[in-house]
Amino acid sequence: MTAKRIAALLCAIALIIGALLIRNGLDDNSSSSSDSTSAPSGSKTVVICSNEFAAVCAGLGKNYTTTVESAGDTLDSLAKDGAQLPDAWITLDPFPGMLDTVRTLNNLATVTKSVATIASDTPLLAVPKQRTASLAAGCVSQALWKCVGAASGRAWTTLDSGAAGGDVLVGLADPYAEDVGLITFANAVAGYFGVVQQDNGSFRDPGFTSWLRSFTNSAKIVAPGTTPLSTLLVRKTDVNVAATTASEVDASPRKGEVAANPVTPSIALTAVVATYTSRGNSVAGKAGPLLLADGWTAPVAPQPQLPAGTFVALRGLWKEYNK
Amino acid sequence: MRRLHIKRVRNLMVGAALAATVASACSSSAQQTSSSGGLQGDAGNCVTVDMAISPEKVTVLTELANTFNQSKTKVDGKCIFVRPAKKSSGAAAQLLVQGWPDPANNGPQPVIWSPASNGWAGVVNEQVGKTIAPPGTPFMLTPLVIAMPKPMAEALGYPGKQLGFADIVALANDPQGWAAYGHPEWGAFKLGKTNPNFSTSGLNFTIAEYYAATGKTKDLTLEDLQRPNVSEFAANVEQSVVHYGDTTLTFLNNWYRADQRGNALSYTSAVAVEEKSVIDYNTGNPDGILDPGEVPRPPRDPLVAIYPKEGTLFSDNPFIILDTDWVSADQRAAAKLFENFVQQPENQTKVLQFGFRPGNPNVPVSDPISAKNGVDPTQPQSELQVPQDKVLVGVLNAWGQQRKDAKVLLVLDVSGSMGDGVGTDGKTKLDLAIQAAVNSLGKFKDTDEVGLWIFTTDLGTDGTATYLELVPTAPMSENRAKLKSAIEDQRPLNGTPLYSVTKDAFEAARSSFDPTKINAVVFLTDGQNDDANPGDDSEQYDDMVKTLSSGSEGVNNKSVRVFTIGYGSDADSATLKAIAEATSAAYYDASNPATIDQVFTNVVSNF
Repeated sequence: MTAKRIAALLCAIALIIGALLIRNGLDDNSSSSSDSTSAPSGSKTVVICSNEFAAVCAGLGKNYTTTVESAGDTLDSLAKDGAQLPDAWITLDPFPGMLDTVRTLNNLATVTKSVATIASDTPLLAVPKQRTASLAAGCVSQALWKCVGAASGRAWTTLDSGAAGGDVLVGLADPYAEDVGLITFANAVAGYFGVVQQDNGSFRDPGFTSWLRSFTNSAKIVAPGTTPLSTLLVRKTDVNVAATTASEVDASPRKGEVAANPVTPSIALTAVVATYTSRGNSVAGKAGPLLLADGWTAPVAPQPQLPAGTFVALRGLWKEYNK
Repeated sequence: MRRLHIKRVRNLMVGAALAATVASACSSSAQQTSSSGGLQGDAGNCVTVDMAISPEKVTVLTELANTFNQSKTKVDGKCIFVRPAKKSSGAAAQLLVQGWPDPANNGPQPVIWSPASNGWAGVVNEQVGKTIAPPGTPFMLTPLVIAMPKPMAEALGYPGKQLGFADIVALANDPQGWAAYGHPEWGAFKLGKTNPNFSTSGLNFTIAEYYAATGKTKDLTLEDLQRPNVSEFAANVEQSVVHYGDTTLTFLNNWYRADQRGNALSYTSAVAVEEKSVIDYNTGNPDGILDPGEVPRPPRDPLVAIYPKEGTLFSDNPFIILDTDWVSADQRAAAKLFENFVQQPENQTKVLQFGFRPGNPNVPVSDPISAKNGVDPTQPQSELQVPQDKVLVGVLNAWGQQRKDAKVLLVLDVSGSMGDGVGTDGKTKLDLAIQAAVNSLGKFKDTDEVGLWIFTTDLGTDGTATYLELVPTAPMSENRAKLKSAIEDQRPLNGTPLYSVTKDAFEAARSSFDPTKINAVVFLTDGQNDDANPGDDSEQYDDMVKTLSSGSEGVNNKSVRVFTIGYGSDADSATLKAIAEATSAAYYDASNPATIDQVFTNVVSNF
């Protein structure tokens, strides 16, 4: 990336953050520059797990007090003045960075002491096997996410004249509430632009806004307690293109019924343990093996990812288009 | 990573969708309650988890409850006893809105509610004004299909041609009927569908019907419903309806009986049912419940499921743990344990064995959901969108206007036994029946034609008549007040000439048969045949059944359905069932007089 492009990207992020700052100021009169954030004081280590890491929290053992909730809820609550911090937060990157970004925007001190990467997973798009040929035929010449995002809500025959009936039904977790959903959305956006790092003003590009409006209007946000893949397997008339991961597909006894397609470019799902006290340092060592046993892979060397501020902006963008 | 994916996403499902709809449904829905017969043991001192479940899944859930109850699962050190009871979705919704009154008659207040569709939860929450029925996780699914005898489906091009609502509608509107498809011997196209105010499959078919009328698969609007061509389309579809009703089981039982006589193709051509019912029917178990000693016998003409090419709707069978003041913390925890139990792969496999599609994504769809049972596991390919609540209300209102007119003869028993007291408030059986009959009048539309007979012995000026025509059959726009007045004037009199009056009423209805209407007799009685001449009872009975049967056979018969109500504990239910079956109608049990109002409501749902 050239220096000019980097400068442009930083400029775009600054603009977005500026807008968010104004919005937050309007939305939350309680914001102030003071910081009365406190850490837990009980005898047990307090851990928050984002929803998809519920089993990790369950496996930590009796010395931990755990809470399972959506990453969006955690982010919003910890970003407030006076928030009660946990000892550790198990979530996806870059949510801890997003927390500090939003706190900075709120004139609050950053709180994250450390972020340890414990496992990673690969994003995929799964379709029923019978749809494989149609997907290949209709999306051969463009990035998969750009293609299915544009086709979402339209008849499969728009991708392949010989396709079986029904519409293209793209399922994903809620990008505003769930960390997996936000990474999925970031991948969709990266797919549209063809690169992970977007260019200056890209979110205001008319072509992109048109694509995004169509996609957000037709995308299926899956129900609580389910995933896009599980929804596809139970009811392919509800979701027939599922945002999923390699570990989920691999763990499914019915993986033979779907074709899982890699997405390019892609932002990997990176599981992290953010700590807020020294007591939280023990969590990563326990959580990592639990995830690896569940099909995640060992953490890979850091790859170029979007800055946390861009994810904050993407989260706001999703909300903006889903009012 | 499936196990780790637990999401908390707002449920955007049908909840709100069906919401207001079913306001209307609730006002008139059935309140059938009966324990499933197969539940083993009793609650004792265990934490009792009562369930209100839609009728089609009572067998599978009873079996699962038995297994769970025997598993000695405990909550807080206490044993758990799960007790399912069937209750139609609309009826349960209505009761929940009312705070589930009168458990003695309505059944115990449920901890778990499992209606056919999650949408009913939205109805309840909207009407109560708070969420007492949080969105439940579907634990098994079944799509709405159009069931047709295989020969008839093949005549339309099945399986090579993908059929849709448009094909059904074209056939329904074709004056040549089946002759247009080379089968004049099958007569006119006849459609069976349930009343959308009562039944989820009836509601779903009606939604699909209006979508078909507009050519849309989503975003149905009130403006769409008001278009003349849409109204005409729907009215034409409704014109082919045999009769309505509160449950698809009436159609399936009648169809199966006709099939055993070799007449399946004459009763009806197609019925809107859930996929599971096609499997049950084809395995010789049309009502999905195998009674002790019942040996299933596959039909002569199996059914095939048509998955409309335009799309269909699902019954998703949510497992809703109610948030009401009668649900204790122990019951809630116990209910959660049973929910987890039901979702286990081995139990989801059992669900599959009963013809439902598993809600657990780890259990694949397989036999009996297979071609050999007339269904296709690869279908449906698309769903119709559940309309917004206000549009759903519009659908029901439009259906109320466009449904097929009825021509109904009410025949009311005013024998002496109808004067027997019920309860402690001095009311007689006749008092309750009068109130129920009067209440039912409001459910007919002005263009329906309704008349009234009363029957007992020693009537007329010379004391020899067995019935009196108090109000000749005429449009309700003229008859409503007359009927109310005449019904309210009744007093208990003499004997019960059941056989002769049934025959007379049937023949009278046939003599004024109107092919543009649902022609029916509603026959309420509380006793055995008693005409003071027991010597000819057997002959009279045979003559009656012969008349009813012969008048109901053949594809071009003047089909008058005789819906019978057995009222009180002394009613001759066997005879009344035989009467209903001979005319491909249904028998309704009001052995508990306190239920007569609801039973009348259910009977009128056929029109």
